[in-house]
Parts: sequence; structure tokens; C-alpha cells
Amino acid sequence: MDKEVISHGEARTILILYIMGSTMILGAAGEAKTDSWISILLAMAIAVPIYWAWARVLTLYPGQNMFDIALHVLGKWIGKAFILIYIWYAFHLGALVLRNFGEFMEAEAMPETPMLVPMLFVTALGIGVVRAGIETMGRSGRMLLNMCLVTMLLVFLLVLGKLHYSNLLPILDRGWPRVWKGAFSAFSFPFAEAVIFLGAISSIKGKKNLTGIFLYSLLIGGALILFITLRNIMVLGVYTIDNVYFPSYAAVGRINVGNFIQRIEGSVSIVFVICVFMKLSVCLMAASKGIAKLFSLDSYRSVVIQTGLLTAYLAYLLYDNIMEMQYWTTYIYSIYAVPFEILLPLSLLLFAEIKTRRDQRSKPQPD
Amino acid sequence: MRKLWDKERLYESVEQNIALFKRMFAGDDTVKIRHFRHPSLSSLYGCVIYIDGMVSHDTLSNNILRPVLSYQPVEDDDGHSFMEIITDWLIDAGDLHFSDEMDHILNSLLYGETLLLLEGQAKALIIGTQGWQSRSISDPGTEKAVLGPRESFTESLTVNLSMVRRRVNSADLKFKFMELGKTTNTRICLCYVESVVSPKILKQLIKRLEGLDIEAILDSGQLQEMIRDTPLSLYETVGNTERPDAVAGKILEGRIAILVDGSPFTLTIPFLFVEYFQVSEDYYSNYFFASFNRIIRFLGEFLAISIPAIYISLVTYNQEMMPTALLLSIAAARLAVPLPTVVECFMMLIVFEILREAGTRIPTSIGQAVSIVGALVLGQAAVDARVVSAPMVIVVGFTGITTLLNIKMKAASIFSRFLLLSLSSFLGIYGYLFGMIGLIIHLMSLHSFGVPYMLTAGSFKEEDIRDTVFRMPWWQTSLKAPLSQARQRIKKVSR
Repeated sequence: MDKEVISHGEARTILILYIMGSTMILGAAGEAKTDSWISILLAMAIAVPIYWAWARVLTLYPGQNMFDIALHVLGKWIGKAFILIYIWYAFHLGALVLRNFGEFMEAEAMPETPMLVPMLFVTALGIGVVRAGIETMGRSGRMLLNMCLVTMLLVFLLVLGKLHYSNLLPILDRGWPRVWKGAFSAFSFPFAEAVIFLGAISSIKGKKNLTGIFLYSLLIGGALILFITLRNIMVLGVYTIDNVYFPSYAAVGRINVGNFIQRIEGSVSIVFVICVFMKLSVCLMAASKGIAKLFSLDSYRSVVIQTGLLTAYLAYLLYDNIMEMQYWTTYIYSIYAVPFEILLPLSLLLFAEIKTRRDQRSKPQPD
Repeated sequence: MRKLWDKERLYESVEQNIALFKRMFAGDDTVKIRHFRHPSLSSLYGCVIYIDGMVSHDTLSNNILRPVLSYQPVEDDDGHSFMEIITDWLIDAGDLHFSDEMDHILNSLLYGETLLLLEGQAKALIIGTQGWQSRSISDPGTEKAVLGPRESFTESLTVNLSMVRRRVNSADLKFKFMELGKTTNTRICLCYVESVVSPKILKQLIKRLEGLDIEAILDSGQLQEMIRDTPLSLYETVGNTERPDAVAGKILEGRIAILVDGSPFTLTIPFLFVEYFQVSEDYYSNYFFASFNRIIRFLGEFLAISIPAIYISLVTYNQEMMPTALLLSIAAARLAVPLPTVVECFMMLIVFEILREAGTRIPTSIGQAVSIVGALVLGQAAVDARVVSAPMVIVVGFTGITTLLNIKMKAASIFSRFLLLSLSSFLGIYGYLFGMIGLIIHLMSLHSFGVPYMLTAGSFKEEDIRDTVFRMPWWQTSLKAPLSQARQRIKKVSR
């Protein structure tokens, strides 16, 4: 099998869609209320060094993903333990994202259809694109991202009349602690979740330095999340946002142009479907690649279907109801995710730096 | 038959050779053997062998037999043999050569060339006398255009090659012949511009063609199916056209054309999705209008696969998205219809496909009947009788028209439409979205000879949309030099 190579642009689109992911449905930094946009800006700022560190890890070993690097740097046993941890995280995150989508479908779109049905459809799409490979994912991503952007722009134009700037005021009314709390939550979900991308990515053609991909995607993805959050606050006001589970959906529901274009939230859920699908696919690809690496399989493609279906089942079993999901995302997730998102990648970077230095020193200098 | 006679050799004696050919073609009365003997030179004695109907009798008698038989020996022969005299002085045919390989001799004979055998010579003189009847060049039937050249390919390979050659008068244009089909020995010709073609794609194509194991090639359609990358996809990754100007344009862009003897359809590879929407007339008409037409075609394809699915999801699942007045009028029209909307939709779509297929096959003389039955009985009367609702007739009719906009991808359109319709009958607008994303993934995963099928889709770069979504004006520098552009493009794509 030939090695799959994607371009910088394709890697960026995958990462942007991944960052947007389920945030498009759930919204980010809800704790900070009217100031959640400040929290998101702060979270983006905090994410910059972390993204830089990830990019640095990949740049040290070009053409390899996180699992290859872990095995190379940490040795066989610790490396495999590291891989196992990330397989779990990718698998669990995929299930969480899928469950978000399932809850959304059950609560808003199709109350009478069992949640498993739409979740299985998205899983099937994810399995399809992961089996087709990261090249297909990159090319599809480019087209799907454009569809998302066009839809968001159209919705924004239609909702212009409903924007109330007063909803943003008063700024910093609840004080900095809440803003920081929101920033931390927005950092762990969605920005730092992009660590999974390190496992899904393979060779990238062109420039060796991958920092650009990560920072550019952070900037664009973050800006889009910021844009959606501002729109939701200005349309709905913070009290309504507190009372709905899916603010974007509710905000679009407010659109009414001349009693003709109204209740179009069904059609804008194209953005939700695309983002969730992309995020799930990246998680699925990372989990499959990790499993393939762990058991030294020739190709990750043989485990995609099993992993995908298990993800759907795990998603189905995760919570009993939507309240539990809300509790988990708000209070537990940001703590649960810290080791996966910060501690382990940073220690991997540390060991990788030490190892490359040592390798360089031991190598005879060609002169 | 080739294999059967491999071991045979020609004899020196004409009688023995004649016996050999009679044995080989026993039961085939079209093979004619004509003896001749020079009136004065008794040693100038031999025969010509040809297939009746494949050769031009005019050439045979005026340019071959008459000069040989009326030959008057002159003094300064210098001991030339009769064979040399015949080839060098007497025969007026442009294409002639010797051969003693049975394989080659038989193929030439079967392809309409004439064999001349002389007493004392264990080889045959092969003379190009092909002269069979073929259809004259006419308007393209499947790719009509208001502007641009009017001629289309015919069933004759040589005529087709001349039409391509006339458009690209360059020594860079190469024709490479091959023979395919174990029984039919069909001639095919690969045609490309050497300076822009990708050697990698050419090599791959030749490898695929040589690897074919097929008894008979009767039309290029068979070849199209056998050399494609993804045999299971509904979308073609090998293009076909019957317009010589389209072929010329495509080979100038670095593509390879495959002309098949006996087929008026020429294949072009690699074939990208966007080529379904590029019509050669686009390049000859006003660029605003051409770009507009392109966008209409894209929109048409989108509608062709989406309209029934969107209608079903709006009527049965997501009624809130429709304006109330429209919803009420649809509900009123559906009031007395007994069938569920989904069943109604499937039924009407199948009826449309039946009408389409009937319309393609029937003789023109009774074509009127189908249109009357289609329009009146299945449309007006069905609505009046409350078997189907009027909005459904509009939906199905409009869907049918949009399919005809891109007639070349009708197979893919029809199946995608049914797929999306089934999905949206289960999950409403979400089913439609899932289906669309699945379709996009499928298209994105296709390749045509190593080139991504959706090469430029989703990109807004100037170089990517100037001849895909739009047709930019010719005076733009980017289109003036298609060759150098194509060269760069190919270098970028064939990794």
C-alpha cells in the first residue's frame, strides 16, 4: 500500500472542522455567560503554546504520527502504554461527540426516532471516509468546510435583524474568575481536543514545519467559534442560552424573513452534521491507527469497522439522559481531559527533544 | 483462427498456395482467388486473393491487374525479377509491402488488403486496397450544439483519425495502434500530444489495455468499462465523446484519446467529474453565457438528485420549514390521494423511467403515441382521478427534465436520486444530508488513472475555477496557452 500524503491546506481544513466539531451544537464557555467571547479569546491564547508544542513533536519526526513517535521515543513498553491511553481517549471522545449529536437529534430534530439510528448513520459515514483514507478525508473536508462557511454566512445575513448588541452588556459584570473558568472550559473543549489529530495525521507534503497548520487552524476555527458564540448571545440573550441545550439551533429558529423564510433550523443543521462527522472521523482514524500500531497490524483499515461500531455502542451507553451529559461536559470533562491534552503530550515532547539531541550527538558529524 | 494456422508457411508453387488458402477459408465464400497469367510471358503467373466487399474493385482491376497483365517486357530489364518489376513499376497502390509471416498475411487479408502471390515466390505482396462502405460524416447525435463544428465521428477508424489530425496539425500528435479482442482483432488507436501527455498515465493505460482478456470488442463502451479504475462506481472515470473538436481539445490538455474501429464514440482518459459539465460549445460562445450555462448544469445535476428527496422530507418530516400557505395547498392537493407520499414518489419516478426507456427504443413513427400517453394519461388523467397529487407530478416532471440536462451522467443521477429518496423517507432532511455527505465522500475517493476525480472541487483558487465552475474569457492569459498550462497542471497532479 502506498503512503498517503495530504497537503498543508487539506490538513488545515480537517483540523478546522475538527475544532468546530460538536462546539457548533453545544456552544463553548457557557460558564462565563455574557463574557463567554472573552473566555474563548483567552482560551485561544492559552492554546497557542500547546499547539506549538504538538506541532514541534510532529516536526521532530517528519512523516510519523504520534503513535510512531511514542513507540520510538518512549521505548516498547511505555510507548505501548502511551498508545493504549490515547486509543481510549480517541475512542471515548468519538463516543462523546457522537452522543452529543444523538442527544441533539433526540431533543430537537427527531424526538420519536431512537437515538441510535442517526448515530449509526454518522458512524457509517465516518467508517466510510476513514476506510477511504486521509486523502479522501482531506479533499472531502475542503468541500464540506466551504458548505459550512456558506451556510453560516447565509444564516448570519438572515439573522442580522435579530442581533441585539445590548445582550453583550454589561461586560465583565460577573468578574474575572468566571471568565477564567470559562476560558479553561473552552480550552479543554474544543481547542485542546485537537491532540487526537496528532494520531490521525500521516505524511504531509511540502514544508517540513507543521506549526503553521496548527496555528492557522486554531485561528480560523477559534474565530468561527467566536463568531457563532457572539451571534448566539446577541440573538438569544444570556438567559435564553442558559435555558436551551443547543443555542445555535435555537438562534437559527428565530429567523423570520417576511413570514416566508422561517423555522429553517433543519437546513442549517448541515453544519452540525458536517462538523460532528468530521470530528468523529478523526477520532475514529486515530483510534484505528493506534490499535493497528499497538498490535503491529499491516493496515489500520481492517479494524475501522469494529472500532466504529463499538464507538456507536459506547455512545449509546454513555449517559442515561441529557442532564447527565450536561453535567459531564460542564463539570467533569475539563478535569478529565487535562492529562490527555496537556500532561502526556508535553512529556512526549520533552522526551522527544532529549532523544533527538542525544541521537544527533551520537551520530558522527558529516563534514 | 490465427492460432490454428500459425505453423503454416507459404509455398513457392502458386497451386499449393491456392490450395492452402482454400483449406484455411473453407466455408467462407467471400474470399475470392483470381488467377492470372500474362498473355505473352508464360512464367509471369500467379493469383490475387482478396475478400469480397472489403476491397475496392476499382483499385483492384485498374491499378493492379490491368498494369500487370498489359506489361510489355523491355530490353533493359537487367535481370530484375518479376516481383521487383511489379512492385517498383507496375502497381499503382500507395501502400504495399512483402511478408512471409502467415499471421500478418491473414490479418491483412481480413482487414481488406489484397494478397498477390507469384509462381516461384514463397512470400506475399500485401497491397492496401481497403474500400468498404461506411456511414458518411454527420451531425453529432448525442452532443448537439448550436455553435461550433458540425461533424461527428463515424464507425471508420481511418476517417476518425483524419478528423483529429486535421484539427491538430502538429508532428507532436502521436497515434499508437493496438489490436484487441482475440476473435475480432479490433484495431484501436491511442492518440495523444507527446509533449504534454503524462508518460506515467500513458504507461498505465497501455498496461491495462494489454492486460485485457476479451474475445470481442464491438464498441468502445466495452473498453470503457474494462479499463476504468473503480469498477463498482456509478460515476464514469473514462469519458466518451463523439465530437472530434472535443477530442482535439482534450488531447491538447494532455489527455489520451482511445479510438476504436467500429465505434463512433472516442474514449478520453483521465476523465474528471467536472468534464461531465464541460460542453464543447462553451468554448465557442460568449463567456458570460457559457459560464451561466455551466452553473445551470451544475445546479441541474444538484436538483436532479435532490428534488424528490427534499420534497419528501419537507412534506413528511420537516413541514415547519415550508411556508404555511404552500404547505396548505400541498395538503389540499394530497387530500384524496390514497398512497403515502413516499410510495407515490417512487411510483411516479419509476413511471418516468419507463417513459424514458420507451422513448429511447421505439421507432420514430410511433413516438407520438408515447408522448400523448405520457402527458395526458399518466399526468393529467392520473391527477384528475386522484391517483397521484398534482405537486408530485410537478416534482417528478421537473426532476426528469433536470436529468436530461447532463444526459451523460444519467445512470449515476438516477441511482443517487433513489438512494437519497430512500434515506430521506427514513430520516427526513437528516437522511438527505447523510446521503449527500456519503455521495461527496464517494466522489472524493474516486481516481481516474491516478488523478483525483474531484481534482478542483471545493477550491476557490483562480486557476482551479477558470475552466470548471466558470469559463473565463479566451483573451485572459491563462487560457491563451493551453499547452503550457496543461503541462504544469499534469506535473502537479501526477505525483
